[in-house]
Amino acid sequence: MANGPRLDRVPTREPFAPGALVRAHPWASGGALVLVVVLAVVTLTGGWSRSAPEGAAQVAPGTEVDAAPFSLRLDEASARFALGVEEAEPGRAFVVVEGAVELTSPTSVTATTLAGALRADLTAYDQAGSPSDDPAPVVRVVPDGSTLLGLGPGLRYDVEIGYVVDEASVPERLSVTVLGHTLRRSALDGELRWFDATPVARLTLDVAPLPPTRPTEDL
Amino acid sequence: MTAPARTGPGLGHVLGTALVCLALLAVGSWLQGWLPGGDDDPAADPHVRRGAVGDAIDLRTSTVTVDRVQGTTRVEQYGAELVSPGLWVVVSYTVVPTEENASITFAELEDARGRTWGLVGRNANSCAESPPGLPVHCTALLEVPADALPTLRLRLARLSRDVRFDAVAEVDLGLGAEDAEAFAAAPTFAVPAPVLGDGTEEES
Amino acid sequence: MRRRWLLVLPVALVLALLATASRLQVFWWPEQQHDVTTGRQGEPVEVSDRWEDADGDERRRELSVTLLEVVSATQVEGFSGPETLEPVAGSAVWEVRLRLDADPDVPLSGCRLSIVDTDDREATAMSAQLGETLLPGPACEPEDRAGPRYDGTPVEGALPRPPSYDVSVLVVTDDEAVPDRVRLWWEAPDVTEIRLAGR
Repeated sequence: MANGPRLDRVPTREPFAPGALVRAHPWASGGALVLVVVLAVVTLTGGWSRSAPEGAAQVAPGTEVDAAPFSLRLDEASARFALGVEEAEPGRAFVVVEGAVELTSPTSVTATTLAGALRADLTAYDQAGSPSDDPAPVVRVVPDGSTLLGLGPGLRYDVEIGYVVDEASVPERLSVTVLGHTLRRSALDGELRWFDATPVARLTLDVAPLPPTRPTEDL
Repeated sequence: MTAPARTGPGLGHVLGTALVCLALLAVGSWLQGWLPGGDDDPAADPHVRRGAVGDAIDLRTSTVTVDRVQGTTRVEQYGAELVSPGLWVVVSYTVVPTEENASITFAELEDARGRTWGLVGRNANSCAESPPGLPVHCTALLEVPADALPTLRLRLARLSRDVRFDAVAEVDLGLGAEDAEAFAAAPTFAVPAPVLGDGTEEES
Repeated sequence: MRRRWLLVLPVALVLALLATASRLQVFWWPEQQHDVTTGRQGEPVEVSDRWEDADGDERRRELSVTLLEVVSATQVEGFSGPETLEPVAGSAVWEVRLRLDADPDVPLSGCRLSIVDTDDREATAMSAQLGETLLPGPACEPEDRAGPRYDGTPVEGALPRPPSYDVSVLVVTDDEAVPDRVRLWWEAPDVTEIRLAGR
């Protein structure tokens, strides 16, 4: 019956036999599998749009950089034992980047979005205290030392962006990549957020060295 | 016929099925993008009640009145001074709950250019829950650039996390460009804790 | 006759509505206080209250609640003994006195209490700063003699809870509220509603 002519069968649908199909058309099945895997990977990683269309340009410190949703400027970097009222723990120090940042999008964002716009090329401790290659910095507003937990549109803050590092591994030069983002709905929960980090500028800052003594040790 | 392996359907049949599946998926995702999504539910839009400074606005769960709008560059909250690169807009308002204990936890400013300033970052809303009929005097403080002042509107609602289906008060703050100068010269504003009761706030 | 299928249409409509009504059960009904035990002031009310333990299993506690009185509060327990309550314009503070009879092994922390006035407005007890006074939130266990926590462990340093005790809960209302009934609850859907005598 299995080898009988197909027209003999009254029920025209045959039971689907994937194994048989793969054996009969190994190349076609393999190709289809590859196609499905490629489609799945592309979909999961964010679609066909190019993630770095232009590439990041090297800019000089003090240059205004447009990195949606921010417009920001990084001036200089220094190593310090204190950032605002916060003092570094023993054995640790801050690498502080001074600059200014303004939100150019019409709706407020949180500090997480700002942290996502900067990638410093150093190993630092994140806020939970564990070392990370892409740590979220502490951002302080210069005139009052308060922590910038979010930004509203059109306000330009002078800021100190601080990374906690080991005192012994304070770098002499710090390269920072500024990343732009796109506002779109999340494919998972449909929420409007800033995604698709794209490097828009790279800059290298000389890091002013730590003062010879830790201020608390004098006390 | 020497084709013992051909027990399944032909290649053309499978390809056809795949094509139909893909076409259906494409039509489905096109429909999905075309139909209103979960966030576009027009019935879920907040019910906006408009008013001016001094108007009592009915928010179903409470009645809110914006009493006074002030501005400064420096505010003091919890002992820390916060200096704005723009201006702090300080709104004193009163909430009278209707049937159950209520409060206001959503505050947002918007200007004519569609820019909004919510309760993120250093912005704050100092308000407390109050029982029905008992007024609670609250303060919302948000920093905005000076050029936004002339068209600022304040929105207040019960729940900061969700204003869908709920009533939202929208108050034109009635500020002008001349207020920006006065605000820039104003002294530090100490943010008061919310006050329960009929008593009007003491002038500071 | 195909027309007879038209008769099935309303039935299908009803079935479809019933099928979509599951959201009521999922999102709304269990959160409502729909299981009401009622009573009157001065009479013990037997309450069987459902609660969920740490494993998510439903448990029950049996207790008896007596509403002793609802009076204007004159003082509040501060850090250094009783403080006199200064009146605040527009407000009234009520002291709800309850007697509870419950097995000392039954967890009773985290109760909520409200006063419903004659206009059906409900004022819920809460911790609040009223004028110069900090009013405490509701507590249904005697101070220093708290029963077990919800996971069954005892509170450190607490003496065993007596099987029968009185507690006072302070409730702020506006100055026009006339208390009509007192509502006491822990988790929805159970709630105890006790009407004041003379109402």
